[in-house]
Amino acid sequence: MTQPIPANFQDLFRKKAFAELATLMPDGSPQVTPVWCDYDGTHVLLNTAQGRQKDRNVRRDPRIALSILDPENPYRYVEIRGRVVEITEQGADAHINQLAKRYLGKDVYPFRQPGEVRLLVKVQPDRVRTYGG
Amino acid sequence: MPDLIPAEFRDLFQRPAIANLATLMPDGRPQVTPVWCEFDGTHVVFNSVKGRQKHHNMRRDPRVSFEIFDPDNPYRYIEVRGRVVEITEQGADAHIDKLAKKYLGVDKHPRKPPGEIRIIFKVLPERVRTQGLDLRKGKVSE
Repeated sequence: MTQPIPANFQDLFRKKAFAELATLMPDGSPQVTPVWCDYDGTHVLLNTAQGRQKDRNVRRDPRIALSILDPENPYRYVEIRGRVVEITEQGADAHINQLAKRYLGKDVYPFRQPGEVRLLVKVQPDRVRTYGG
Repeated sequence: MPDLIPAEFRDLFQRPAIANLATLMPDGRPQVTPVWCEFDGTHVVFNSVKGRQKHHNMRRDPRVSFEIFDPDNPYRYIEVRGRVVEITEQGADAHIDKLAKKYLGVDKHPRKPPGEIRIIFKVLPERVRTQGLDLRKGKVSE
């Protein structure tokens, strides 16, 4: 069941707030890695490159968790548990540029590696908790 | 295996940088939550409250992962995978005050609800990955 991100915490998706993404390794142990994030009103949108560990992990097991801390006050944060419901190349390049604009103030994502295929990863939040609001 | 935490990233454990810790829920899903910590030269030492979800989770399955980024540069960070090798109440009250000093600059942890029991848990790092992007140089090696 999809849970919305409360309106009074959606500012995190306008700030340069990182999502700390936990995915599951092949042996079921967790892995945490910081990622840029976005919210379309229903899904939390992440962007990664094809073949990375987190990409392989969520294809095998879509269950993930996220924590997003307010960069201006790390004691204000949102914790999300959810599932990856879609991984697509479609729109992923435009999306990473959009994120680069927000996070780096650059029109084009500057860290692209040769041959890199960007992926847009859509997360359905199943459980959302906010703290320090 | 103290060498796993590179010397040039140990400052992250000395500064008020919050760790985001993932534990495993009973059904194997991950949970991630921010938590205070320090490094004792061998273990990463966390402090939490007895009975919280992560406490239950770590007692059932000691496999954890956490990430800490530089408060001054979020593109510089350390990711650690490891396991909880000890959970104890002993010294946990003094430890949370020590962490309150580091993170908040106060001598005592300001919030201690009646009946709350603090715990220390020690994580032995097994896999470490660092990222040291300097945005001024504009180079990343993910």
